Amino acid sequence: MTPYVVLEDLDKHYAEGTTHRQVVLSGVSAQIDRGSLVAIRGRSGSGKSTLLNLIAGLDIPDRGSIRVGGENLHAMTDRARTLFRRRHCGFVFQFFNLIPVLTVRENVMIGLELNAFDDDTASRKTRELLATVHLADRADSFPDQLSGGEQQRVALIRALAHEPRLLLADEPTGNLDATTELEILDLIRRLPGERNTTVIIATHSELVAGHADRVLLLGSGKLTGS
Amino acid sequence: MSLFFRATRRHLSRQPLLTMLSVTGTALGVAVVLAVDLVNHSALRAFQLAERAVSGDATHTIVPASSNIPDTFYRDLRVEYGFQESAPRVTGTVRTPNGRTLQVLGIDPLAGLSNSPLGRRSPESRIDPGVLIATKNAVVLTIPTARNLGVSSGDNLAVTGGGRQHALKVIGLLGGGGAAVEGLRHVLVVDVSTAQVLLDKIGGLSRIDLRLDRRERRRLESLLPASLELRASGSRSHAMEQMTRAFRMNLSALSLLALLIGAFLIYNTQTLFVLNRRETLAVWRTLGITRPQIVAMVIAEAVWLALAGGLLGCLAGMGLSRVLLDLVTRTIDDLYFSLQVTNIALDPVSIAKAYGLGLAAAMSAAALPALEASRIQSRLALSRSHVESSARRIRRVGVAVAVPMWLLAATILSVSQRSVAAGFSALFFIVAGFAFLVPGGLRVITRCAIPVLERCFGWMGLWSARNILASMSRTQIAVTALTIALAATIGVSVMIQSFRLTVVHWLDNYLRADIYISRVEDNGASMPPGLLRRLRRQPGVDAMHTGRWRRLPTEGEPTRLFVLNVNARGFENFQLVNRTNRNAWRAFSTDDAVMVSESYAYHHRLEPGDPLGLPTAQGDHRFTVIDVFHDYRSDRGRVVMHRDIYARYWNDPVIESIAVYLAPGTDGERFLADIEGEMLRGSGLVARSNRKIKNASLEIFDRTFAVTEVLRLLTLIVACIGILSALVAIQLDRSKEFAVLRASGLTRGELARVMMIEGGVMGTASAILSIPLGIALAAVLVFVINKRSFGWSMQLSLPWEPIFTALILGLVAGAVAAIYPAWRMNRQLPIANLRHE
Amino acid sequence: MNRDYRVSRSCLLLLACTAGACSPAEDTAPLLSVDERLSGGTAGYPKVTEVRPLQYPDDHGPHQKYKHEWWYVTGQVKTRTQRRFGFQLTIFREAISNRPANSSSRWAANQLYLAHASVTDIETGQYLSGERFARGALGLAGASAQPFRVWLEDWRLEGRVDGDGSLEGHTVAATGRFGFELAIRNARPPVAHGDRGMSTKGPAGNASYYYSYTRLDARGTVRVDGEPFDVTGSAWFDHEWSSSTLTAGQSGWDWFSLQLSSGADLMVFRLRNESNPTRDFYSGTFVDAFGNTTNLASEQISMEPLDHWTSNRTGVRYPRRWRVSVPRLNLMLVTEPRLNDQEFVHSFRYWEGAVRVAGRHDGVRVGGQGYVELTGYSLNARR
Repeated sequence: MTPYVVLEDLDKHYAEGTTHRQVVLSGVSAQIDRGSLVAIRGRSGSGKSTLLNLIAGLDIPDRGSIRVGGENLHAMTDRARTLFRRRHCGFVFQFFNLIPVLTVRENVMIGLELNAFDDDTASRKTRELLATVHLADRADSFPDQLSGGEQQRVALIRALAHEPRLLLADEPTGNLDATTELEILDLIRRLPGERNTTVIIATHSELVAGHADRVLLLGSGKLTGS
Repeated sequence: MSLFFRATRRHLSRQPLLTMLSVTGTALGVAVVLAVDLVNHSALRAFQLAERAVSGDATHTIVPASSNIPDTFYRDLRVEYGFQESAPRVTGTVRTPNGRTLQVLGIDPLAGLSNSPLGRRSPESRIDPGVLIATKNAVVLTIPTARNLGVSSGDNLAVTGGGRQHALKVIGLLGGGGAAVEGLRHVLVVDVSTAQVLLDKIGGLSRIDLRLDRRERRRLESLLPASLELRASGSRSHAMEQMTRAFRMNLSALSLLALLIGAFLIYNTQTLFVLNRRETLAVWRTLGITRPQIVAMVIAEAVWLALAGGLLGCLAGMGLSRVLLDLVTRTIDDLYFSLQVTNIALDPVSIAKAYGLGLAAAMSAAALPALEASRIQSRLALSRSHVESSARRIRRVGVAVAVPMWLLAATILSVSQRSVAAGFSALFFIVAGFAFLVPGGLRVITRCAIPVLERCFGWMGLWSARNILASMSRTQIAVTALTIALAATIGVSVMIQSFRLTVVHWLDNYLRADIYISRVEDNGASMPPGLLRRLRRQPGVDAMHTGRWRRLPTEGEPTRLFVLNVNARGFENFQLVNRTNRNAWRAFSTDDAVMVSESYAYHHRLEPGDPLGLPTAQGDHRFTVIDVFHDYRSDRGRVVMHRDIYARYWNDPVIESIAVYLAPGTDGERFLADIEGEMLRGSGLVARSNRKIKNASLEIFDRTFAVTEVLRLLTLIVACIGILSALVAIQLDRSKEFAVLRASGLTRGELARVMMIEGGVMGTASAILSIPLGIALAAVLVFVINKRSFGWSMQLSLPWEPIFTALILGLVAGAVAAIYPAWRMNRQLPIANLRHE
Repeated sequence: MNRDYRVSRSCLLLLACTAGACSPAEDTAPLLSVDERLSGGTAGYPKVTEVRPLQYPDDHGPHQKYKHEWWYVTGQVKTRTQRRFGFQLTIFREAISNRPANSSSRWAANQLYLAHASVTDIETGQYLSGERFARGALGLAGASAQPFRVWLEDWRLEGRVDGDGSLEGHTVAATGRFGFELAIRNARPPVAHGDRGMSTKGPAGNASYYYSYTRLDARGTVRVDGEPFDVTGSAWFDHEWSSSTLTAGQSGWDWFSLQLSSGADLMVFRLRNESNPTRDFYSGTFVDAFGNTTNLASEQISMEPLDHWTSNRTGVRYPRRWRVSVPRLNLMLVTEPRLNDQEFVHSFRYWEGAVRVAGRHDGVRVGGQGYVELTGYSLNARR
């Protein structure tokens, strides 16, 4: 298997005020294989989210490099990084982060539209995906009319609709009850698996980690085990 | 992208109040700008139309150097010299019994220029020349004018002109639309013979319109006596434009201030929108929306709002212009020349200009929030603390930005000597620089207020102050907008009051005589012979001065020459600016010397000792300027010459006005009644006490600034909307926080009070901050803008009333603006805001 | 001929306009409004009802209590090289009020003056014309008998008139494009038309006072487009006043002033009935070579258009050549315009032009020249 994501010696810190400097990541290196499901475990504040942001090109490391699918994100312009993300990444968050003013259907269609799928394909795919997660009848609802589990299912298919190579999930089940958590985990494993999508999940949950092909442990900004 | 913009639109529609406030802000700004522009434009256009309606395509006009053209000259012009493309005009005003002023235009219906609407060949003309000439007091007017006056063909129309009553007979109406009829609104068209009687101008013409080619012009110039002057047509319109330019520019500048405050509002709203949506925007970024797209979205949003606001603003502006029209027209009528405008000309250029300005203001106001929004990388990067730190940044750079801006303003003022536009741009930089200091000022004031607030309101006061300090990013813009608006209020008020006090002081000094006698109609006719002698015999008369106005044809505008027969005591009435010449009185009464008013000196760049060339009856002659005197009579200024000097160069015995000094102990009212009953009855003369003239002058003064007051009020309304929208946004942004507090047991009343205290603190802070800025503005208005616009210098006085008013206004505006958000928040159940996330 | 109608003619023209009969191309704004003029019209002005002997020079002056009056000079003149011109100057007076102008203004007036002038340049085929208006006040326009002077601004007719009526004067008119300044002197005494100067103009009894100098020597300068020509020739002078308007049903007139090579002169006119030619009214005066005059009654005259000319400018069709006969005098004449387009188009529109004359008198061939005036023709005229 070829590594899809290669992290080399990443440092990241945030300035807080003028004097204090908070180190978030320090010397993180890792390789993640294409099609694998990797969990990054660590406590709150261990730098999981930051790592995901870096992999998605949302943030730039202070040192080190990130290669995704052979591309050096660090070397790209912001625009190129954004377009790369648009095409190749899908994002799932703890708080779902659906666009509140768009309906369920519209939320799912965002990725398709941004990647210039034609209208027919986009609505067909959206219909199919909504059916897969049993939400076909909620297509015209707004996110705040859905339960947490339902919202996360929408967020998941929104992240996967445009068939990204990389799915990034930040505590995707952190805000859900146990039953729903299992349901979502199942979907996360099942849906990308069919397309050889690489999945990286940041989590503190044992349960989630248990489903992963591989677990990276993050502690105080350092990779402490795998 | 379409979903992205759909989301934007839905976001706006889900924030109806905030959206509405932003739209209203733009709308008001655009409305004020448009209204002022339309009014300015309409006034100019009305004048041009009237010119055109009367003169048609006349190329030239013969005007008298003073008073009137002898009508025999007109006879010679046509019969002896053969200038057939010529038309006599006798103009003036009469009054209707209910006090309305109407213009009188005396024409020869047989002698119109070929293309004048009043010419006999024009399609609009339905005047029967024979009837107009032969019917006693026959008048023709336009259908709208007739409707306005409530008369129709065949009716009589009573007017007062030349001090006498006349019954005019309406013999016909000018119909049809078109510029011609439009230009003749409020005009009574009569035969020359009727006009001469109505206006007491027997034997005289006001002017002669002509159409000449170059050869004819040269021939005519060689034939023209020195007392007459040939001018190119349109020079009147041009002069009108010149005369009122400063006045109109001042109005425009004030209207732009409203737009500036409107732009602050848009800035405010957009920043709040961005803050409110920081999480959503972060999600969009993760989904692959680029930075430029975010910038475009925020700006597009502002443009949407501005498009809607601009549209509303244009509609409102058209309405508002009708309100302002009367005020502006009356001012021009009072100060410059007879002008009546009833119609707003909906000039598409003005509308496009105002709309464009609104859009441009919105786009530039949205630029900063848009950039801020595009910096959002992830949720982490846009935490509250991050935004607050950028707000802090503005506060820190405050002084660093303000000082250079003020230096720039000072440089502009010192480099540009006379430009009004430069004066206004300096004013702009002073305001803009100060705007950067407002956040810091707000912080300091709020901190200082904490003990007071705590004592007055307990923990709620404390908490309010902390809230303000913690959410500066949201509040500082609103406070800045309100500060500028209040400062404008103070500045303009202080300027007007200073001006008024200066004028009052001047009037007290200048109007020392007890009784002033003049013609009811300013028609250049002389006082009846023997009147002076009879007055002198009247018991109680101590001394008398006589006056005579002349219009001398000088380069550019004509010069107003006031010929005064005055003694040394009366000469003291002049408040001299320089007082360098100790022998001023002797020079004035014996040398070839004149005094010039401050405005005249300013416009003509004259100093004491300078020569001033004037066209006398014996050709051009140089006079020496003795000194400059304070004079607020007209912003065009005047030249004053002693009658004895005047008599050396003009053979003109005409006296137009008499000032009477009464002996001590004489009853002024009684004296007035006496001479009115005996001497002045039916003479077309009127006698007025100096108090009456003073009051009338101040009345005109107050009318002049009525429009300014209206604009000031509108500016303030815009700013209040700013405060309101800021508070609404705060409520939206903190709804969760408030919900928690409500859930923990805070009562509705307590929450509402917290919000009102916050509003009140913000308003009061604005007011306090606006005082120094307001005084600075007043100083610039008094010492720079007024001086440069009108040539007047005046004392800056600092009345407490406008400052006190601003304080109250600030406090009330802030508290009132908090009422709605407080009410709205209290309507919601706490749970509604707790459920999500 | 009663050219009293000439001013009244404006009313007709306006009536035609109101009825939609005017071609829109006509550049004739209403000078005198119809209703006012016809209703108020001539009420309050004396009618010509009785014969009174004409008195010279007094009757050369104005008769202001009558509504209408005019002085009229036409003629044909030639340069030494036989270049021929026609000229016309008519000054009208109209009383606009029968009350004296009572005002302190010198502009106050109860008299209104109009003037028409033209020059026909036959060689180049140009007809140039102009009009003027002014009130009879302030010296802008007026008339007086002693000295004889009728003027509207700088257009004028003035001279010395003796008790026997002999006239020596000059006539001046000029615009930017044309002008003339001609000395005139009567070659034969004035001729009183009708019954000692009272000229009847219809069965209804309308009449005017009317006399002419049928032959004047003219000498002076004609100017066309800035170029002056020294000319000599022959002119005709009319003066007429009254208060009456056209009789109902009359639509216009055809008027001839002809000077024959035999030394005789002929003035004839016809007032056309708008629908029925048999009700046309004719009148005229014949002056033989010795100065003897003969009044011609309606039934003694016949007039007949031989062909027509249509104006390019207005589209109006006018008779062009005429046959004029007076069987009683054994006189038959044919007139032909020197130039077809001599249509006067200003505030009023009519045809007035120089003509040549050919025909027979008492079996002898005669030639001659003259002026013809044709009014009341319009696009919709029935005849």
